[in-house]
Amino acid sequence: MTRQVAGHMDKAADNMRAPQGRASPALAIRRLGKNFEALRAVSDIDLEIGRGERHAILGPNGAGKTTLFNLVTGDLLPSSGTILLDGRDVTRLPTHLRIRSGLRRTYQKSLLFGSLTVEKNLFLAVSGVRGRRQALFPGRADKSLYEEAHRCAEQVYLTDMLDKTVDNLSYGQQRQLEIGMALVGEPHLLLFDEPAAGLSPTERTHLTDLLEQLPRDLSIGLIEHDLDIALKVADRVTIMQDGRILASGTPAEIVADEAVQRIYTGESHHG
Amino acid sequence: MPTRFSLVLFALAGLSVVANDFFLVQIGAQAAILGLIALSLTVLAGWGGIVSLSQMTVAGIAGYSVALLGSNSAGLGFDLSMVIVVPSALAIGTVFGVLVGALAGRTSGIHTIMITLAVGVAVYFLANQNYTIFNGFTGYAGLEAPKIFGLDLRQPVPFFLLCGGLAAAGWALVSVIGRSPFGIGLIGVRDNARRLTALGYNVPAHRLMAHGLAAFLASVGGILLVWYNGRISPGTISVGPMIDILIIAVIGGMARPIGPFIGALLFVLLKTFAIDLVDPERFNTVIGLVFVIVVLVSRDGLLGLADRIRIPGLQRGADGETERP
Repeated sequence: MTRQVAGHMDKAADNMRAPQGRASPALAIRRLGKNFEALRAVSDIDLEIGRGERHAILGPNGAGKTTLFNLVTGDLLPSSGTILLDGRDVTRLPTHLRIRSGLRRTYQKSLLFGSLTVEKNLFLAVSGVRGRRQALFPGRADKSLYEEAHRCAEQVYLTDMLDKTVDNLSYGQQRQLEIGMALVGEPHLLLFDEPAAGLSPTERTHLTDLLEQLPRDLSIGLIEHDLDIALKVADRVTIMQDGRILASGTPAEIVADEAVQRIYTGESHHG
Repeated sequence: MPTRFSLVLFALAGLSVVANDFFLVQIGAQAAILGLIALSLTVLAGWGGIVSLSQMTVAGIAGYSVALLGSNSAGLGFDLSMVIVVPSALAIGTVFGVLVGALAGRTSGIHTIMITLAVGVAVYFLANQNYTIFNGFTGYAGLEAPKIFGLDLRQPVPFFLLCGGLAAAGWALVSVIGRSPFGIGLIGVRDNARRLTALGYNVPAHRLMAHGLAAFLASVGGILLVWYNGRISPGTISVGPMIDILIIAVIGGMARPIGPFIGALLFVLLKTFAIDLVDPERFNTVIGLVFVIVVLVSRDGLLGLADRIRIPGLQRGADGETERP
């Protein structure tokens, strides 16, 4: 945790020296659309996540939230529109290059390396952003990568599980690892896709604490069905429905919005 | 690791003193060679989940390169010095493997198997019908291991030490790579390629590198194979030998680099002595039965069996790779 904070403080200092760097938001999406054959999964989305902003994206299932994340990371290519990360057009950039420039994400359904240990999962995450991805031989540099992986394990309460194979972890522990793998390096923008899905009430409290403890200048996009978590963590909230943005505003504005109330108190409560 | 490696070298030296020439060459050297070629499947299939059938073809390309670039009895080729021939053959085999990887890299599972099978069969028929490079059905004979500083590598003991030493080096190399970011990442490719991409890895490049490393190992084996046989022909790289490599890897186990050598030793022993028990043409029945039994009782060949009954020195974690396949 301290390492991350320190890293971000360095960056904050850089930004003060170069104020024009603050001009571009962490994420800017312009008129983004994605069609699957006749289905318009996402259409005409305009969305910005400013530096240090925590932006929750809510909406019923099938609203296009995860598709939107997949477009931002490059897992899917858009049918129309542009995506800018830190002011740079990445619309056609391959996923791995977007990650190396500071984007991270977690998945709704944990995507982990099931036959490897927790330690090796985190080690892969660290060496992915530290440029030792294709190193054929173990080297001295690996030591600091493992140390970083251990610090990350501590951050997501998995220190005791380092030697456990991921397939043998509990569901909640796998969710913790899923988040841990997105925290390594110095991310600029973190996208969480339903981090609380399937967690117990206690685990949800841990998760909320963890999210709130993340450095304030880190930009966050958060898809979450749990309104308590979303409204507690977020600075801004966007509501999606049928692939479009229905409303966007501060948590207070959103709670007061009638159209939103219809969705969340209506028949499709849990979406 | 260095201790284990030197122990293996001592064992090889000890064997070369006590064992007779038949055992050293027919059993020892042959198992080392086939093990080296099958070792490429530890990297590709065991770690990367890329099941390739064309590893014998890669070895054959390196073998044919030795025949064509060096001296042979067909009167074809360049008759170059071994100092040039061996590195060139290694390079040609490796490049060929990378090309196969580029072709198969966008596919997975059964499609990779089919593409690599197609490549192998295509090269087999090309070798059979092309007389300017492959010398057609006859292939090349008169291929001999060189003499280095007066040491005749054709003699049983030096040749056994050469093959055994290179096999041990291959085993050590792959063990070390298994602990590197690349090696762990390759398991990541198998477990969850999409997540690996989302961690900043270029997965196609990772797969291509695995094909290159595997092709290098198979090429070392391919060069030794032509020196062992003294000849190479389309029969060396036909579908039968292609599948033999996969059988060796599966019987031995692919989770760790010692597996293919165990498989190769068993394969060679069966091939050599089964004919004393059954008709020579019944060898396929014997190896087929052994294959079925091993696959039925163990998830990962004899290695998986060793893990279960805890044979000292062979179990999980003993030589690098600690993960199950």
